[in-house]
Amino acid sequence: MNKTSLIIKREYLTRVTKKSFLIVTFLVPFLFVAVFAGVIALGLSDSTNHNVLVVDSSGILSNNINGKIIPINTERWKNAKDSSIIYNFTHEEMEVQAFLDSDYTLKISVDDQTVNDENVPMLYKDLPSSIISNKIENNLQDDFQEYTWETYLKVKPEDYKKAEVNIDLVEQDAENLDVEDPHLRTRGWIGYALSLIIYMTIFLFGSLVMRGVLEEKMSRIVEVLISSVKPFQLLMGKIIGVGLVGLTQFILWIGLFAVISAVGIGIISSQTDVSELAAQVENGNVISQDASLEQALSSMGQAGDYIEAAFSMNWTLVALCFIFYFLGGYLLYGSLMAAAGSAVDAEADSQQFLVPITIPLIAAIMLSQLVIVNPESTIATVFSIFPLTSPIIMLVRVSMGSFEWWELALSMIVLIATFIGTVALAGKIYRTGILMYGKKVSYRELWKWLKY
Amino acid sequence: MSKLILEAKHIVKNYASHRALNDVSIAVPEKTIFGLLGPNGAGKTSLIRIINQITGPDSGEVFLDGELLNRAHIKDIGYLPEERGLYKKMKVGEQALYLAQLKGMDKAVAKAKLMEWFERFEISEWWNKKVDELSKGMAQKIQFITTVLHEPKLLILDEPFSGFDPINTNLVKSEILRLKEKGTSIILSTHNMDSVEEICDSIALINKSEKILDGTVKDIKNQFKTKTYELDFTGSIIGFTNALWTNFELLEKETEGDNHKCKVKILNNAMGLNDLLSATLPEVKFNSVSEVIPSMNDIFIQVIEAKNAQS
Repeated sequence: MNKTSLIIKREYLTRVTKKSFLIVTFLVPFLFVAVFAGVIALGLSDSTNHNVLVVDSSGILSNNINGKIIPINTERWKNAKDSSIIYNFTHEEMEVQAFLDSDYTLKISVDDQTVNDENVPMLYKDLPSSIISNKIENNLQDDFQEYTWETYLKVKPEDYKKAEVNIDLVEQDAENLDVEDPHLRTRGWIGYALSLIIYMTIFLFGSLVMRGVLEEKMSRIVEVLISSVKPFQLLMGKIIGVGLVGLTQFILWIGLFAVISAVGIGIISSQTDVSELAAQVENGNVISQDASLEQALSSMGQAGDYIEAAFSMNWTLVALCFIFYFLGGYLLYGSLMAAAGSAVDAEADSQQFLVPITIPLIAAIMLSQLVIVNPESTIATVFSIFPLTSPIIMLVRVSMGSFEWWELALSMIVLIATFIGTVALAGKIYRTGILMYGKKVSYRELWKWLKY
Repeated sequence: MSKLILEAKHIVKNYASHRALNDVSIAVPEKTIFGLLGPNGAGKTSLIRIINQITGPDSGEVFLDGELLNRAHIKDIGYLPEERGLYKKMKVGEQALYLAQLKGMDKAVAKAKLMEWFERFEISEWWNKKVDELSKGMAQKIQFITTVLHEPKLLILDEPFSGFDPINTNLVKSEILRLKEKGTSIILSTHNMDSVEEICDSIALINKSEKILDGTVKDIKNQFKTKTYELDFTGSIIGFTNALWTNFELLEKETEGDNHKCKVKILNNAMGLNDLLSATLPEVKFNSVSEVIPSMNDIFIQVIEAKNAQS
């Protein structure tokens, strides 16, 4: 058996058979889903219930019907079952002290002047979330808008609704007219998520390589090893072995995600079936499958957008690019981090070399947001070809579908050329570094090592 | 002269800021133990790394068994570095197998041989232990085994006894001698002069990047003899010292009752032991006479200090 493959095998097996590998592999997808679901759930529901007193001394929003103050637009202000906001209308102003003593959590006061000064004071006991404030503000906005239409323009809200127009700008590539493309930027954000995964895994596996190099150096086994194999074989064996661990983890993750989402979709669709059925029975009519899907998506709001955008992506190309840029970026950064590991004696000392290595990677993540806004700008082109940032930036652009083929080809060629160069460079530093003990290494020193 | 297992000719090695080896040549006879000596930083490790092809010389050539050194020789050399260790989290047996395979051994053969060695060292039960469960001395044993397992023609041991207790030092020493008996050639780099005296056949002494002395231990010792004798006699010490005229120098004396033990150096180049004895014979009765042979330790210190005083 070839020596490099022996090294790859050892690097791979010792990591894959570790308990921590199994834990990370099987727990991360669950944690990811759990955190994601948790964030959505938290965002959707404000756990505190609000009992809102609406003091309408002007009578613009409400009528007195048989001694009961009832909002004019009951639909808008109704206390939905699942809503955490309960509205109570009154025409009588309440003193601050009385409010504090009452069960109400919020008090808003509307009067004759509100239409003119456009401010509505809201007293609170505990500051409500911005979601609650926004809901209340929207309701007030709509009510007053309708009031002013009727009062000043003599237009009924129903008539205004009929006349209302809502324009969506549809961006279309003149060279690709067949494709309707309302999801360009949303796809960018999906690409952003993918490039975040690349970013994290380059960090994760790059530092695994670095720690592996340090382990061999600190345990002093390295000199024994390089009396049997060339330092370059040892370095490549380690980088490839750890890279394969990374790929294995990706494949397992993709598999697990597929299983989890299949189960998840199964649960959701079984639930929608029931509610759909109920809705159909209630309405007494049957709606087509397509329409219900569209309805479902639009009712999901942004999430629906993402799902639609995901369907509009060229996943084969994106997946291929994902693997290519993960491997290319990993080889590039992994070899640099290996060189950093070889130059120091302890993990704590590696920071001085790690920081400059990781700055381009962090910059790329920040730049990628600019690229989503303007995917065909010069900045986007330059940084999707520049090898230290291309694994992140190009992936975003490929996900958006907003790139030229020559740019992709050039970006890949430059990345390959660069990682061959860096691996050779890292090999030189590594060769000298692994045998240097107890020496504080400066950049000048590293430069000398390159010339040995 | 016997066949050479290793010959290094005019080796020069420069690092960025200094010259580690300056025209160093050594010749290691086959099936002998060769001591590579020198103070810290003299260049021993640089030379050993060149022999192991970890680094290359800037100029000069190395021949192993008559052939110019090349990658195929990796399996013919076993190297125990001074800075040595093992993977802490890896199991002992697995690790030894891995190191053997890296040397080019077949897995099954390596396993069988390892079992033999583990049995001889009475450590078979360590096979499935992790290295960080072992003591330093235990780990050293494993390292020694992995160094010699592939039965190299040339064994290079850099400070092999450091970290061993006296019992294990003897064990390793006897293993080294056993390997020599079986025909292995051994380069031993050490500061432990007693072991050099005990097991080395020939040596080279390196100081400040240059070789300053080499030859067989016997020749070197003869070369450094100072015509000093230890005399054990009974009689008058005053009469004895008076008899030593300008041609002799009394270095040490030790008295026990009427018995005396003295070390005397003959200063006059034309004189020998007979002149010393005849000068003092009328005064005392000799019990024994022996020549003082310098220890390797004395030679080491003497040569290096002389060299350093020169420069």
